[in-house]
Amino acid sequence: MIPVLRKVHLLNGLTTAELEVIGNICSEKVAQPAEVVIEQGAEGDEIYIIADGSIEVFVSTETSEKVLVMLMEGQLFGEMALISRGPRSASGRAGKDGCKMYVLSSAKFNEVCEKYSPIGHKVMRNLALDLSFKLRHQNMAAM
Amino acid sequence: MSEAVYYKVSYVVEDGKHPGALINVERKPEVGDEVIFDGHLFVITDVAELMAPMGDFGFLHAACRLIGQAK
Repeated sequence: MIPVLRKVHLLNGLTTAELEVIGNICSEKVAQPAEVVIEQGAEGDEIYIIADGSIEVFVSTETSEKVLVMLMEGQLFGEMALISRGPRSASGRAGKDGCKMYVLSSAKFNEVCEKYSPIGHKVMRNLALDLSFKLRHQNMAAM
Repeated sequence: MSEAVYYKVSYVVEDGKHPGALINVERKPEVGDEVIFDGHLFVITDVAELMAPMGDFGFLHAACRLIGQAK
């Protein structure tokens, strides 16, 4: 698990010992192709790290659906649960080859971040960068 | 500053023919490279730095054109 976590931008700068702390609170989940992992509007506390495969992020109304982006190994989704407890802003389903993920409870993750402040500092800085990167991607895609 | 170890790449597909992808790669993509995601083959037409590198990561934007289905 550690080699995969090392490639996750959210955890950039963490030492091996700090990555092991995060690894200890991760569980593994495998989604079959097209399986919905998170649903827009639903309550959710988990953050997902893609270990293998892909996730298709989409938003939908009663009559339409729009795919926003494909996320692949090393990307995360559901990370807004780290900041706010509102409903999911988009849905995510596994891509054509399914998806293997590491799942983090945001409550446990926040607990670790508060207990080990160096982890919390690095993760929050990386989270801000990640959200900025995604926003810039959306801006480029909209041009 | 040392070279990035990983590149977080925002792939945006020309003409909106695909929603694009976010992928972490270990080699900096270049114009002319071919990339496969979501079962499709794309060729990269432009690469630009999207954000300044930080730590082990560089942040890139890569425009690409859909070529067809990946074999």
